[in-house]
Amino acid sequence: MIADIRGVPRAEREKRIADAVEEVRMGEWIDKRTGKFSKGMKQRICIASALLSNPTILLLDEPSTGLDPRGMSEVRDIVKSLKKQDRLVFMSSHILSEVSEVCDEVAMIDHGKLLVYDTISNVTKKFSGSDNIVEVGLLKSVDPSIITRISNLSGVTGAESMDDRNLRIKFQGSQDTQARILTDLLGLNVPVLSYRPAASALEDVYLNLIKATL
Amino acid sequence: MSNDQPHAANTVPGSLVQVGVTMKYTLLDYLRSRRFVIMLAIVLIISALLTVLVAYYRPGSMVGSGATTIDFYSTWWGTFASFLTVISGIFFGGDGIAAEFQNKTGYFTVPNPIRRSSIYIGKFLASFTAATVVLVVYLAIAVANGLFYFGANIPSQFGESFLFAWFYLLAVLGFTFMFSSLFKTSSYAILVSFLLLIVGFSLISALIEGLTNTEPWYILSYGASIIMDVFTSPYPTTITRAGFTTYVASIPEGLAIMAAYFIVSSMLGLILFERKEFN
Repeated sequence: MIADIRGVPRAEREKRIADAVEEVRMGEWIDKRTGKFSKGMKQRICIASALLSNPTILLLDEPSTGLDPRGMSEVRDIVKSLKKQDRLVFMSSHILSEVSEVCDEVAMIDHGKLLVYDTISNVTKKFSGSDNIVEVGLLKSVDPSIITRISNLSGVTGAESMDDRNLRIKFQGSQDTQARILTDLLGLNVPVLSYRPAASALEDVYLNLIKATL
Repeated sequence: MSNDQPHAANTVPGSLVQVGVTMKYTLLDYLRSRRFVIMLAIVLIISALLTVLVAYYRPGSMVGSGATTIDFYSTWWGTFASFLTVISGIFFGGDGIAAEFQNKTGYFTVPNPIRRSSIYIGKFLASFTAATVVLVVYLAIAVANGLFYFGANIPSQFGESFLFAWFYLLAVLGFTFMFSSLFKTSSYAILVSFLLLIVGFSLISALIEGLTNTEPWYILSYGASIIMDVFTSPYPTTITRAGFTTYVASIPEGLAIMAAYFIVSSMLGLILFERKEFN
């Protein structure tokens, strides 16, 4: 029905449906009724129906809103894979950590006014001071003296403990600096479990930017 | 998707074609549904019972020596056609729109490049077709019995009555679709339509006539009385006896009431559906 509505030629219909369903990883469910699907699965089916006409540009309006964590993760993975297929994907979202994870570029809009548009790294660099931020997940808590030593690492402008198992490190420099700091942390025997750009960096930028409009 | 060989750009069909697409798939859905089988079974059981009872008892008012074809068809068709029209209209129209919200199927259709009016009209036409099939089955069995008892002598009033019932079906569906657009739960739409069309209107009509002695021209079932009245020759008129008036809708009046219900309720239903959000 959706293929008919979207005007997919009859000769290509079966292949396109199979391709689209496969692309959202719903191939094994292709003969099942959608009524019992989870919200995440339904969202994937919606994305598949948009893919039927093989668009080069996709507009996704808050694709993960209202989904449980598993559904959000599923949809995020699909969006990431769509990016790899030579498509331009526009995604609107209020979940800025998701934007950091999925998108290459970000545009922030407040009351219909475009506040900023650039790559994620440029935006965070430009608007959250000159510092970049990484969050470090720890296997076990570390001694405060270690945090002081981290603060003194080259390029690092500050380090703080968020809780027992998480650190926040501010640094100046590029991704090379970010990689070198990780090596230095391991050199200090810091029990690193995870290491990633801070999800809240984009939130900080957003809050700074909209301050003026409040 | 095969990106190495890009597909030709799709042309999204026009609204009229999309009405056809929606109608086709909704109708397929209806024809495969349990409700269609149940509705057909009801009609077949009633028709079979009538066939057996008439054949066995040979009621004089229907197939006796003094009975006419008009007597036969008015009893067989006229007494049950209105009820059957209402029931099949509610059966197929009650969840026409509400099911999109209740079963969340609207999440798959509405985000596509299709107007909501195309969905609404397509579903309406599918319901109309499915309910017509049910009416036609009942009609065909009536005709088969009529041919058996009276030969190919089918009165024109029977044809008129069928056309009126068909028109009544439009009004019933318009009314039912309005409630289907209003509620997000199919059972509410079906229940409210059923109570109003089967009980409510008759009750209101009787109360208005009895208490205020005015013509209930705004009641749908009053307009639909032409389905039965057309068998009476000459056509009955409003009469007053002992200060009490029995109102009878003329054929133009009945058609106008049904048309008004169809147009107003369908438009209201469409407006409600256009404005309703999926959440």
